[in-house]
Amino acid sequence: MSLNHAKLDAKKRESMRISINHIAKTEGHFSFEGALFNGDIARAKIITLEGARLIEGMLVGRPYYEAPILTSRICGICPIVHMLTSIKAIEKAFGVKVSEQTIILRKILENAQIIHSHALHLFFLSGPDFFPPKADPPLAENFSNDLKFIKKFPKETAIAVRLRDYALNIVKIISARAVHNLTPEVGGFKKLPDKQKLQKSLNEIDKAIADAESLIKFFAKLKYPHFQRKTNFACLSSDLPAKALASAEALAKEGLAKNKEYSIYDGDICLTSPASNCHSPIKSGNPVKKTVIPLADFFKHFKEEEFPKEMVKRAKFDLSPVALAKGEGKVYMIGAIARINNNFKFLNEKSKKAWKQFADKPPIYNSFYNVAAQAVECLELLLQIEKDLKILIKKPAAPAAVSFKIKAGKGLGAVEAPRGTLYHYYELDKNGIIKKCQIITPTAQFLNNLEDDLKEYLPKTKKMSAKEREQKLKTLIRAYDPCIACATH
Amino acid sequence: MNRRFYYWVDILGMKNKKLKIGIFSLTCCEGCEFAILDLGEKFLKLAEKVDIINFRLLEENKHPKIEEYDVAFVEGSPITKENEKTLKKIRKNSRLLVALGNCAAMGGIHQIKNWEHAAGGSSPTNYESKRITNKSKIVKAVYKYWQYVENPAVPRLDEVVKVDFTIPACPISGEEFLEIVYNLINGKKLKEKTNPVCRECQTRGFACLLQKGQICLGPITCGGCGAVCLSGSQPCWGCRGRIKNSKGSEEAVANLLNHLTKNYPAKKIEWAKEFFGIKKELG
Repeated sequence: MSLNHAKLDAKKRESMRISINHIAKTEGHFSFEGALFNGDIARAKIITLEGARLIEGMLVGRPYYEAPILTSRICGICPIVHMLTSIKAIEKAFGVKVSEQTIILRKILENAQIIHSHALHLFFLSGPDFFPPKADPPLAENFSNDLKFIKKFPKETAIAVRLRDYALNIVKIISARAVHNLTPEVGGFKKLPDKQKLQKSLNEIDKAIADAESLIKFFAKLKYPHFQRKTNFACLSSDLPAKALASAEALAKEGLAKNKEYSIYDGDICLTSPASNCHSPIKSGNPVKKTVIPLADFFKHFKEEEFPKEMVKRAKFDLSPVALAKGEGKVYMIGAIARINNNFKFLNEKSKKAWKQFADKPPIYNSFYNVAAQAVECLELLLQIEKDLKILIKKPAAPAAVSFKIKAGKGLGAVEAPRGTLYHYYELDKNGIIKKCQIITPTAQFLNNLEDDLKEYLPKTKKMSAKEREQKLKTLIRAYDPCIACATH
Repeated sequence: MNRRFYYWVDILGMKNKKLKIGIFSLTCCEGCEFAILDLGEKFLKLAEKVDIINFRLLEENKHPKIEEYDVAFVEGSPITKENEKTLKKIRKNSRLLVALGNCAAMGGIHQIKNWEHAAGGSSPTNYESKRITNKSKIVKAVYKYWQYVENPAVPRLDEVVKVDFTIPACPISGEEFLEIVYNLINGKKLKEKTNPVCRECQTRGFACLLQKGQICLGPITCGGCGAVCLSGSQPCWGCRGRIKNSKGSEEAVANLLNHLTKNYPAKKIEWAKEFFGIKKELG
């Protein structure tokens, strides 16, 4: 059979086409297009509809101090992580060493940012999807408008709003505004927060922790669709790269390894892949192959791919830089589920226990559980905030920022955003003018993984009604918490 | 503001029906929508008083094409052709169209690419103009397949459709949004703020960054923000637009620009003026 005939034949056999335009309740605009051939071979594509703002290009020729302010405006829900990542990258380029106080404040700020983003996504954007459409009256349909969902669950709504407000308040105390934050800058902060206000937040943290625990209980009761697909997970981690590990004992003796915790603000890149071959059954606690890549080697192992008419540059990784250069990169998953999978051992005992309400020990290969991972992270990050606030309040105040010399250089920064690791890279000249800027956002990294998940999941929906299928596909897409505004920037 | 606007404010206030409101976003960060959501309980209370019939952050329903809105709030920039079509459709279906935030009102950070930096000076590129400007260099710096990227000079909403009212700032203040919607519900006339940010900054006792040697546009920028940037020691770069129609505003603008020109390199002043698009208003 000639190729053309094969194509025609495939067209005839194409049994089902699915397209969902303008998927709501996410950040940014995008559509889904999928098809099932013979009921089991699937095609799935996420088509982004966001206009390109060319933020990276705009910054070229402009001063370094504009970068955190401009890049924070990439995204209205995660401005802090863009701001901090760009600051870290520029500090790397200038060789700035910030104070411990600055690091603690930034950690609190970033953790609070993740909590308020998670609380919104969990309860308002993704949560309503998980109510089974078979209930009478069909809930998912009713809850397509959140204002109705809110009326049905007034108690839980109050908890989610309260938790979000708690985190937003911390953000406001430290950075002077919730959206498009003001105080963080290269070298530290423009202004230090009022310690009394922070003390007040600390006094109220028990209630916030109780709220996070109630939210976890609520989400543990939901029904998560049965679905699994083995994939690779990447995130920042306190685990040390192999080279550093060789002298791990020495490091431990020096006490450098004592501050290990569930990484958000800092770390090297931890990559895990299923150790067994892809056909073996998936069990909880399956062995994984772990590699820790020094952050500085990021560009050796990760690469953005460009295609005509695609505004999002999707990223792939490969442990072999040679294979990557040849275009043989692998698809990977990031975000809350990747962090729980890779860094489970670093969680507080309380958070580990909370995870048990959802599933056994990780790794977990069901992307719907990203929602569960976000719920547990709300608790974990509150516990970290509690610890950090206590340290900060006890310490006598250091200067808000350190002084530094502007010089030519290159720098890469990485911070965990709510949706996964965010990378910023800058090249600066001797006057601090930006010569090159590259931003690799979480959504650009996980879009390939999302499509692979959708391809695997589509055949499982073939017996569903068209309406139920659309709802289930949206549930999977929204569980990823995609941000196309970030991805396109 | 025009007479037609007041006409509708009167009509809307007289109706005993709930206001039908739509909140739309074109290409942007959606930060203004989040500023509204961040109102939390206050937002939920407002949602009981008006019919929010389009807010895609909160609801799934697709709306029939001919739906009509009493008030449409639009944030972001019409960067793509699709954006422009949407914007024109919203205009057609709405009694009042309110530009929400700095992108909608002044082009926002997106309009930075409209300026060219050739030969020391910089001049505005006309929307519609086909001149090769900075923006073509910019798109080539970002995309390999740049020829497929829609890259117009970024317009303000009122350069594409008629805009009835503006809520400025990057991002908007949620409280200001609330105040305006409640005024619309009650049929109260809306007032544009005429005092400069500088006055609000002094009232609140924040340190003067201009005196400390930083470029601050507070003396010539419309207030209403409570000098929030200054509360975080960030100088004002004019995201609410320049003061006008008030006594002494022309003089204030001339004075500040004079002061800046004497004390700072031209490039540095231009950067601050370009950031949120106040440069176009300053001429």
